Amino acid sequence: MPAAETRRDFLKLAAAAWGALCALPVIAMVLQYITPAAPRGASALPVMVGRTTDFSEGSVRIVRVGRDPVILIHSASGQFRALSARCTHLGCVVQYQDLPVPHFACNCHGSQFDFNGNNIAGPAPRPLPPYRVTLEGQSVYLSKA
Amino acid sequence: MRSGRLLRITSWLSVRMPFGETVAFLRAKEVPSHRKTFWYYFGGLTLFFFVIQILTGLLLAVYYQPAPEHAHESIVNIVNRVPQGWLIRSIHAWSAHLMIAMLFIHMFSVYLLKAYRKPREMMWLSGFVMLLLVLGFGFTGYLLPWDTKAYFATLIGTEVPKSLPLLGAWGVSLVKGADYIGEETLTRMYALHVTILPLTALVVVAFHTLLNQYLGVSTPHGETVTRKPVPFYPDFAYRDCIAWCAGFAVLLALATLVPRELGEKANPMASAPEGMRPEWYFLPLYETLRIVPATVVGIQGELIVNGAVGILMGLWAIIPFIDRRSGRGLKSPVFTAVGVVLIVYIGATIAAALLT
Repeated sequence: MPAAETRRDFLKLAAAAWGALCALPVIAMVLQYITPAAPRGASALPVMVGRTTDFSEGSVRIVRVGRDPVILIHSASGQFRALSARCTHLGCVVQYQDLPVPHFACNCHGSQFDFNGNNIAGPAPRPLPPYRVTLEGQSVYLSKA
Repeated sequence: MRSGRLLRITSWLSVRMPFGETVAFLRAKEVPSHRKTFWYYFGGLTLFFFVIQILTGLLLAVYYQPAPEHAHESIVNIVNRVPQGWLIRSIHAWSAHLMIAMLFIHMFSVYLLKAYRKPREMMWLSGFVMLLLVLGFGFTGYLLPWDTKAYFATLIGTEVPKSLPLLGAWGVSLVKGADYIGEETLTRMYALHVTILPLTALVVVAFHTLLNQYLGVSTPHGETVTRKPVPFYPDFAYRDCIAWCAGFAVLLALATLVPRELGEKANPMASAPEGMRPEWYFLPLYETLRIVPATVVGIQGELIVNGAVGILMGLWAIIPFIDRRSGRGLKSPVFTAVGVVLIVYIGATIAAALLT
C-alpha cells in the first residue's frame, strides 16, 4: 500500500476518533439536560389536611398530601388511619367500596385491598403503604410512615 | 405562442432543477401483478394517513396550549369555538387510528408474504422502527387533551416499563420528567409528539420509501406471475390514489358521524374511572398484564410481561435474519404459524377487552 494512502487512512481514523471523543461530552450534556431533577421529597414532611371536625366518624376520604392522594379513614371508634391511595400495581387511584365488605378497588386492572390496605385480589404486588397520622389540637397532619 | 412560453419556462426550470434523471428513475419502477397485489395498497394508505396526521397536527398546534391548567380548555376552545375545530380534531384522532390499523395490516401482510426476505431486510427494519414511532405517536398524543382517561392511561403506560431492569425506571423518568404525571410530563409528551417523533418519522419514511424505490416491490413466495408488471407511474400511482380516496371517505365518515369525544378535565386526586382501558392498539399488552398474576414463581408479573414483550419485539425486528429458509427461496411454515398465532392473540385480546 502506498505511504500516502496509509497516512490518509490514519488521518481519517484519527478524525473519526476525535469526532467521537468530542461527541461524548455533548451526549453527556444532553442526557444531563433531559434527566429530571430528583424529587425534593416535600411530602415526607407532615402536611395538614384539615380539622378533625372535617372528617365525620365512619368516613373514608381521599385527601391530598403534596402530589399524592391519601385515604384518610376516621373509624367509628374515633381512630384516624391513613393509607396511600395509589394502587401498588401501576399507580392508579383506588376507590372505596363498601359492598360486600368495605374495601378499596382499583378500576385499572381490578386489584382489591382490604380496609387495612392488604392486597387481597388482582395483580397488585404489595399492600397500600400506610401514612402516619398526627393530631395537633384540632388539626390532622399526614406524613409518610 | 402560449406553448412556446411554457416550453421556455420548463426549459429554464430544468436547467436550474436538473431532476430529469430522478424522474426517469422513478418512472422506471414496476409493480408485480398477481393475485395478492391487493396487499400492496396498505403501505401507501399508511403513508396517506401519516400525511393527514401532519397536516391536521399543524392546524391543532395553532390553538393547543401544552400546560395542565390550559390544555383541556384549549381543546374545549378548538372543539367549541374555533371554526371547523371539532372536525380537524376528529380527523386527527381518527386518522391516527386508521394509520395504526393500516400499519398493522401492512406489517402482517409483509410478514405473511415473506416480503422481508433478502434483499429487503433493511426495509423490514425501518418498517419496525416506524411501528415503534407510530405507537409512540399514539402514546404521546393521548395525554395532550388532559382529560381523565388520558391522565390514567398515561399513568399506567408510564408505570409499565418501570420494572424493566437497568434502563426501565430511568427511561420512564425521561418521558415523565418527574415522579408524577404533571406539567413536566405534558410538555415532554408535547415535544415528543410534535417535533422529535415527526422529524424522526420523516427520516425513516424517506429511507423506507427510497429503499422501496430501489429494491422494488417483492413478489410473494410461490406466486406465479403470469400478468405483465404494472408501471408504478402512472398506473399503480392512480390505483393508489383510488385507495387513498376510499380511505379519505372512511376517515371523513368516522370523523363526522363519530366525532372524537373529550372527557372531564383530569383530576389526579380522583379515582380511576370504571371501565378504564387504553386505546385498542395497546389492549393486547393491557389484557396480558391483567391476566398474568402479581407473582409467578416468585417473579413479579409485570417483569415477566415486560420481559416477554421485549424479547418478542426484539425477535420481531430481526425476523429476516432468523428466517433463513425464506432467504433461500424456500417455504417457512413455522414462521407463518408464528405470525398467525400472533394475529389471533392480538385479535382475541382486543376482542376480549372490548367485550368485557
